[in-house]
Amino acid sequence: MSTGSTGTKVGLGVLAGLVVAGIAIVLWGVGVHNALVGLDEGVKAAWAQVENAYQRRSDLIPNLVRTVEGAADFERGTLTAVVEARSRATSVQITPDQLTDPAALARFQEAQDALSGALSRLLVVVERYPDIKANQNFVQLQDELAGTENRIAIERRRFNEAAQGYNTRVRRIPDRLVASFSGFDQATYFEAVEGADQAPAVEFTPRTDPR
Amino acid sequence: MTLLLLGLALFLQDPALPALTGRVVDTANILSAEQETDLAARLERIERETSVQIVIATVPTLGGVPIEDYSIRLAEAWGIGQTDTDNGIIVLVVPDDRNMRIEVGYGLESVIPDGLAGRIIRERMAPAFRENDYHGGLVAALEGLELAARQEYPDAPAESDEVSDHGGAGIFAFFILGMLANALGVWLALIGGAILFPWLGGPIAAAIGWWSVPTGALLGLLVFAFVRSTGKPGRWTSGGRRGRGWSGGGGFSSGGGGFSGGGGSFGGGGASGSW
Repeated sequence: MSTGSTGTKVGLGVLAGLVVAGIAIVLWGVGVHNALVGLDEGVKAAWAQVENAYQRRSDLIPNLVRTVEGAADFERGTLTAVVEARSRATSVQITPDQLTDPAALARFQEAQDALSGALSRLLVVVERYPDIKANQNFVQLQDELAGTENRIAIERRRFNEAAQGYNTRVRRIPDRLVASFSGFDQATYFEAVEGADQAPAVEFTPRTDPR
Repeated sequence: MTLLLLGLALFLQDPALPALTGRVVDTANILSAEQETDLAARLERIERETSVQIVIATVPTLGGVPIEDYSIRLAEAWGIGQTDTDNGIIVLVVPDDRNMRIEVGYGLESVIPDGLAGRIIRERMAPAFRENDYHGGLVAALEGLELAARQEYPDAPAESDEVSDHGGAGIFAFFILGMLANALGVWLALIGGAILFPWLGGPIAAAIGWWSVPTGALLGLLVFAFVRSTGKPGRWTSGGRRGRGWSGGGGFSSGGGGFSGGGGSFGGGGASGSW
């Protein structure tokens, strides 16, 4: 009889220990999950800011096109390139859950970078038109465009920082277990564009050649 | 990977950020002591009157670092402007590079758009700086910035607007309450008659019922007065991107030690220029 009760006590003790350990693990898991949720929302918020900045640039372009169009025999090719690049960039959207998909982000970035290229080429061409450069409206637009590019760069950096914080947490052991259990994937970073440090090459055709 | 290396390279060659020692941080020594004090006094007045926090910083040279990158790092380190309204401005002058930048906080981007910041640089700062008149250029810039900022932070409380807004609502409430009070009075009179009549007698019960009507009217008047008094001055009517109401209280000890930013954030708004 006595051995039986001792055995029962040990058994109960072990059971109680397991239950406590189980509760502790669940609480820890919930804690990690909630932390990941917070970081994930941070990444999504940073992404929204990035989209804001790019949208701002898109919104400036119609005004820019109008201002430049008015100049006498401006090279149409450069203008239409900008307009087309803009419509392509605005058509490539990313939903927040696509942030873990490198291909989706690469598509978005490529469309926006194409617009950046078209814009730089346009501004280089405008250098040859002093009447546009003297236009007060154009000068202010230049400031706005420069400010927008600045904002884009800053929001991209902040997004990368948010993604870094999130990814670090997701990849760490033992948090990794909770992450894969709850379905948190790694976020993708913005990469530097290859050749971004090179100035765009513009061919200067003689102005007498009407386009 | 290239991005990381580039960032590392930039970080290594970055000139160190100056400490926020006051409203004017003149590490390039382009201002005399009296000019610094004068500018600091103007900045303190602007902050006191509009809650917009402006800081002037000068750095001799940036060593090739783009002024926008340096400026945003400075803004993030110093946290100029109030936390809830993000109404900070940093005027950065780099005399050896002949570059300058006005960094505008999130909350002011609607009243000081990049185009306006660029105009202030071109029209107010650059002409004076070409003559080596840094103080004059900065004073002119502050005047421009203050004028622009005041559209968002009006001095005069538009009390009349708020009252007329609440006037309509108040009268309506008064009316409704008056009707309710009347109904209540009639009800009380009936109850008074039915219940109290056997005890107190008819006239007293009737009196109670009769007096409940003006009491209800008085209650309605009190509510109307309360609603009217809580209407805040003009700030709510001025929209702005953030649309937040009251000023941040501006609790900074200025002048000498103890000046610190209010924790405002920046998003890269503003403009750069050179002379």
